[in-house]
Amino acid sequence: MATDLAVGLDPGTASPSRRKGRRGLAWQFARRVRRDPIAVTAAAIVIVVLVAAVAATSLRYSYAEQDLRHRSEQPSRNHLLGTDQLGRDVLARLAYGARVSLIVASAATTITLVIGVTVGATAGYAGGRIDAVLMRFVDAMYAFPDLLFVILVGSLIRGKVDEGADGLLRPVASLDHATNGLFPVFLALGLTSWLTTSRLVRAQMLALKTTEYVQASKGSGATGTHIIRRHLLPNTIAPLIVAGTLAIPNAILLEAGLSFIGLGVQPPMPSWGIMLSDGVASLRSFPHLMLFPAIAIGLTLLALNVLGDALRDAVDPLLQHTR
Amino acid sequence: MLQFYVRRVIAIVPTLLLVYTMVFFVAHATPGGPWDMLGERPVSAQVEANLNKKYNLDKPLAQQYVTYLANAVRGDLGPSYRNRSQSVSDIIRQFFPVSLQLGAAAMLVAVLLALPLGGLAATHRGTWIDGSIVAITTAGISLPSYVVASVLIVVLGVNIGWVPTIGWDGLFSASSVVPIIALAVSPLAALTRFFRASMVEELHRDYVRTARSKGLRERAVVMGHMTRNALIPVTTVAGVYFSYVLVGSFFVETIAGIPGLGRYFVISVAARDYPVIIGTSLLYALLVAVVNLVVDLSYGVLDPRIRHGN
Repeated sequence: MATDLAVGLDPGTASPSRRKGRRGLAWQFARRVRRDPIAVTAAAIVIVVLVAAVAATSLRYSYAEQDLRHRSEQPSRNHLLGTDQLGRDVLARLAYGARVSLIVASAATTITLVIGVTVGATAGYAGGRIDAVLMRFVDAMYAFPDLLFVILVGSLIRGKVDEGADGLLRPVASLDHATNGLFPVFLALGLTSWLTTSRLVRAQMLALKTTEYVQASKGSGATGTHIIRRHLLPNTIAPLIVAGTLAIPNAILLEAGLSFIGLGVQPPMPSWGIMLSDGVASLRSFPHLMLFPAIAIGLTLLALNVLGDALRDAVDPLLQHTR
Repeated sequence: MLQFYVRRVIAIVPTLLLVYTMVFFVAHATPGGPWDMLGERPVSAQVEANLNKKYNLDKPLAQQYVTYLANAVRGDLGPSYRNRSQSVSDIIRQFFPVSLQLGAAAMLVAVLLALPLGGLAATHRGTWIDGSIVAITTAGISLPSYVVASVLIVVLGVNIGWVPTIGWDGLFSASSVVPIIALAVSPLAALTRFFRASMVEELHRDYVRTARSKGLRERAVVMGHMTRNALIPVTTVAGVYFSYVLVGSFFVETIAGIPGLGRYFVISVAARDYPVIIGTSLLYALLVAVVNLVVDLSYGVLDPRIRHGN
């Protein structure tokens, strides 16, 4: 997972020395995880979730298949985790929910990183008035209650898409179709969570801008874009990985939350949030319907956070001393 | 110094304006209108036109923007479209206190538990006490409030039957136990970790060694000297989490059936009740801004170096 992240974030112009540093990071992360039994457990949980997400469509039952004669059944050999109120297999729905969570999380994290890096790099490198305007905007957005914004933006895009999009919105509608209606969810999440990333990148840019090698590059006539891409961004990767690992569990948490209150993923597609809210609705008679999605959400977030901590320690040697 | 305070207070204005502008246009750009779900049947075109006229919705958007803003500055947030006998201010007055009480109670619980736990972990660093506190807080940070609330309702409400599963009879009743715990878990976990990290940083400071070497008891060193310094960074986090708890309470309010403003907001978005959406967003934005301001000001109280200039 660490290699994936590092490779994904690398601009693709690796010099020999950087390639070595990258391998070091992944190796350090792997070593850190192997040493710590809790991190090993966390890695195992994440792998189980990944496998479930991939295998979701090749299970015995499909997530939408109803069997009205076997509703709200306890776990049995036929249905390992029982069936829900409409006789749908809970295990199949949980597995498909894992896929939904992971798709939303990776898409939202990508949007977060793209916007955050662009704004942060522009502000940090340009400085002056551009920096002031962008950062005032970020400050103001910080005061914006982001959950409210997610709800607003989510319902806006959802409504636009349902209404039948034309002109400018057509690509949005086709994207929405391609992602089975998940587009509003991750766009809303991505649009609201780039603030911290942009601040991180800006701070790193400001610190690096005055270093000698950047000055030298500038002196030999390199353009701003070149300096940002070749010198500044590669050095921002460590904090970006940290921001990315923080963003993933956060997006999963928000997706499930939005779906929980009916503003996220739309039925019949399952989401852990929808399953949880259906479970809460019938918790008096069938508490197990609520328990399984609750365990899935809790364990996944816990595992991702534990791995994120390990990754952060591997990335940031300074932190190791305070732990 | 006074100038600094004044500048900080004035800086809230553009923030609120930005929030208003964005919410206004996002809400109005969302398809569907406030009269779509008024009754059992769709309203007739004539009724809709009359309603639009009455509430200025037939005017150009720019004009509506200015009119609402002018009224809002005078404290008039308009009528609710969904519940037309009530004004937005009435709704806020009725529903917000419940959210505020819950949020404040949850933060109180979180702070009162986080300080001793974080301090204990820091002073016993590397022992099993520290290890278990860190492990529990990692779990606490990972658990969303809606999961905690759901599980607690099943365990405490359904299985044991100590608390009602749904409803609200005020802050000092069994019905507030589940929402308060659910809201307190994540700030409690985060604050414990921050306070622990902050205390660990203070452990090796010169003044701590001085205090020890002049023979102060360990208790006095920790309580009197380190805690006060370690509290400064924690204040920021506490402020941020207080806003989170207030704004994020709608999950818990929805699950536990609590008549708070968060739940009302979600209903209003679905009903396109523009004035309620805008008024609630402005209130939350103001709240976040004020909490941030109070946090900034509290630095001066906690750290005299900041108070005297620089």
